[in-house]
Amino acid sequence: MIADDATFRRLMRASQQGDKQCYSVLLAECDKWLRRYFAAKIAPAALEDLVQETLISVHRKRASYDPERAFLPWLAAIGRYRWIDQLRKAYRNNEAELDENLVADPQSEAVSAKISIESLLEKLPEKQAEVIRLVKIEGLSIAEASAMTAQSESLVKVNIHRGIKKLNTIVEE
Amino acid sequence: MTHNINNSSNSFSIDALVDDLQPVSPISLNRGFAIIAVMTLAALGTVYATIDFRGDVMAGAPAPMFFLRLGMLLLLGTATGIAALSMGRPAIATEKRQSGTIYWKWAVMAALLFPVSAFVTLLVDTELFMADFHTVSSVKCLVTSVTASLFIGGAMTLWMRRGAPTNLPLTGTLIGLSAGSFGAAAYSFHCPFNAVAYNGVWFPLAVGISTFIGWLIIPRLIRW
Repeated sequence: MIADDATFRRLMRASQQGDKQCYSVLLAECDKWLRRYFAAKIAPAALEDLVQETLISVHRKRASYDPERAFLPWLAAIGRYRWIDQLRKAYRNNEAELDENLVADPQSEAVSAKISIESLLEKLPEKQAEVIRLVKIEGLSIAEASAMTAQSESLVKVNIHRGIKKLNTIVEE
Repeated sequence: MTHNINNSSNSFSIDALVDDLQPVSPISLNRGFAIIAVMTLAALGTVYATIDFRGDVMAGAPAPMFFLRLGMLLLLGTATGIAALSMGRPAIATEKRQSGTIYWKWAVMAALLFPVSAFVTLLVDTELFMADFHTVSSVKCLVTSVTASLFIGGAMTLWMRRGAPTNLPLTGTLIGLSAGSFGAAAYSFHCPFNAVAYNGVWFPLAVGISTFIGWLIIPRLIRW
């Protein structure tokens, strides 16, 4: 069973004061919670690294937790930031390798990142997904995306804005 | 109790994090506000020491436009400052909505009344608008306001580096906007012009430049 928010808060408050025993329990509980949180979002092969990176961020940024507020929204925000950061890095850095990896090693991190982003984009209307791919992932300018998609520049901006807003909602669910 | 998590590429141990634990003070928004206040007062002191306050302020009878301008800049700086500092303590969007930190947009919309009024003046009486435009003095307005905002924004950025902002472009933009507003507020004690044409163009431009710098540079400095 995973601890409730009140327990997390108590443990984190003690951890901020330097209580190592509470901190050990807290990180173990965070580990369990994060595995469940990420399970539906990423490929199993990428889960381990992401949970570890998030726990390290929890450790480094523990001063940013306000003991008067709920703990799990804070943990979810840290987890989401690490997840998106990992997706962005993997997608951009390994884009050249992606096509080969798709065939060679379907479990690799880069492939997982691409699959995760693609699966998210599939939940958007095609016009929104298309311009997000071009501008936010491929790095094209608004004008270039406009020329490629036959959408006006203002429509490209609106579709990116609406698409990202919808993605945020999907990610938080 | 030992917690080890292993995978093929490396070894990660929760116990190593536990061993590294040191007591920390949670970041304090009050401390952040205190930093903004001190830096703004320092900017105000520098304005007084170097270019002096405007005559009606020194005489104790400021014009209504001085109050309108100063009030709007302080309101905008405070609203965006609260939102910016709150970004250092991450939470999912629902939590943010509940805490009310998203209402800075209303302050921005209220502040936009200044440039909108200037635009209306331009349409109604172009000659009057151009006469009140004061392009030479405007350079001093821009340079002083933006310089003050750089110091205020720099201090806010240092504070933010202890936090964990999850939306870096928005955090940078809000810091720039808040710092720009307070920097312009400090300069407004010197600025002698009361015309809408001047206040609706040059002050928003100074705040806009600071906001742009914040959006462009700060995300790189607060990435974690």
